[in-house]
Amino acid sequence: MRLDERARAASEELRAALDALDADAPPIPVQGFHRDRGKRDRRRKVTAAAAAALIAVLAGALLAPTLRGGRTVPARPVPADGSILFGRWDARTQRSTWFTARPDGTHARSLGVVATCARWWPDGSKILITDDAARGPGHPLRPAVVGPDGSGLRALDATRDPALNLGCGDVSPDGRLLVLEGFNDRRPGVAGIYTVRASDGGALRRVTRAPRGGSDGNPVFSPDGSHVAFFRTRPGVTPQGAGALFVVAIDGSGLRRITPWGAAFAGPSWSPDGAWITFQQPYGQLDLVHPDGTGLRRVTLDIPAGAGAENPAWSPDGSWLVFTLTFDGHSNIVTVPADGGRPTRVTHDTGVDDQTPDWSAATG
Amino acid sequence: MRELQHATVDAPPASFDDFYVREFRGVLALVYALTGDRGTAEDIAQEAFLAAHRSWDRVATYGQPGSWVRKVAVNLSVSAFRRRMTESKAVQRMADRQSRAPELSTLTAEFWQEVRSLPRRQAQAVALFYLEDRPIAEIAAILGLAQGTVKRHLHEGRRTLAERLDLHEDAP
Repeated sequence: MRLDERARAASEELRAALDALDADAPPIPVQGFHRDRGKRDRRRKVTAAAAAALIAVLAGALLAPTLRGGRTVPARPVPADGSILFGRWDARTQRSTWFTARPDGTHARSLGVVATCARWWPDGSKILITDDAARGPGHPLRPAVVGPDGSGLRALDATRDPALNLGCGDVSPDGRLLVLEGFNDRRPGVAGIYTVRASDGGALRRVTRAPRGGSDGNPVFSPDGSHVAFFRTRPGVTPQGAGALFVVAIDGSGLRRITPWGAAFAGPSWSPDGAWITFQQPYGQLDLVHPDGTGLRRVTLDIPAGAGAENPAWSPDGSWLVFTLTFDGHSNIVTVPADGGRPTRVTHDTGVDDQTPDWSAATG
Repeated sequence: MRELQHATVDAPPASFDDFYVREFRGVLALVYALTGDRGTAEDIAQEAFLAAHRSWDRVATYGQPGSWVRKVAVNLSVSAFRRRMTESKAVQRMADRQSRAPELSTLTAEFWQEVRSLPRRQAQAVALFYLEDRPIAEIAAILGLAQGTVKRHLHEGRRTLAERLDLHEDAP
């Protein structure tokens, strides 16, 4: 069969299938467009007002360039110490293979680990991953741990509940607890944040219950281990896929929303001094907010128009951010001073999608 | 066929509402092809038309307002394309979350999945070439690229698709 023939048949069928779907659920009619336009315009005005306030704050910051409790962020080269963990996404298999590299981009190497998520253990001695390979009928998703070189996979599967998947998450600062996203699309009532023992994945405790039709994900520990920040979605939030950040004590008490609904798109990262949480806005912007929900501000990035910044994480000393920069069809890992500026590349590959970095002080 | 379609698509619209009614389905199909998620596609198409509405006095005077709104939609799709895969959900769950998906044959679903797995510029060029039946010059205008660059993206995308789908590649 010829490519053109197949492509044109696929195009015709896609258009017809969308039209058929529209018979039951029509796309937004022009009247609906104008109703929705009013809502979106109001939201945009609120955002513009916030931006004006931000400009005022930044103007003050130019006079006294401080961030995080008065510490000045020095202009200096990207540190050579430490190790950045990142996934290389394969769109065909819908899997990421994990790599490490020094923050200056040297010493890049594949760990040979395939997982949805991976995160450094606090001391850099191990890596927490999702054990995708072990998942199957009767075997829900569970975490696992591997060495910093990707060897020695050990399942953390002491939780037996077959109806609960335990996915992406974080390790407590003392290395004793994991906080994980729990889900099962056939049993939405289980969706929420859970903790398990880091040694074997047992001692399951529930921290949050996701709203009906929504999800709780991307949980991260505060630097003192007392709280968890996470990303929550619920139906009806626009743009599609956006949600809000929440903070909750590890025992499930004191749940608090710290961003407006629709302001966040992906997971939080807590600064090492505990003062700020960074996260991804919809459409590729990075924002900062205090854990109590005050001080929401944009990280000013010197990136090309049309580029998107995603998946931010802090450097161990809190002076830098590492994130995914998507531009012109490709994604690479970059670093930038925590108060913004021009990013420096960690990875330089073309034709690949590098994403979801995590920065450890350990060089490995 | 191509000339007829584009004469219709890019004729000056009488009003924004006419423009919206005439173009929305086409833009929705294009974004769906690039994102694979109908809800996301609707949201992006809506955002693109909102941008057109805000600047309608200016956009309406363009020779090809349909191309303009597609350019905005394609650019928004880049973020959406990434957004879907960075939600840090288990991948199996991501597949489950696709709602209100159009019913496609295995062959067609496989074709568009392979298109989406191409490098983004290649995927955009291929979608505009086949789904929208756009000539190279218009694809270049929509993507903001030189015609030679579009030809290269299209050539590489088509070659990869032919290899992966075990098809014969025709001359573009």
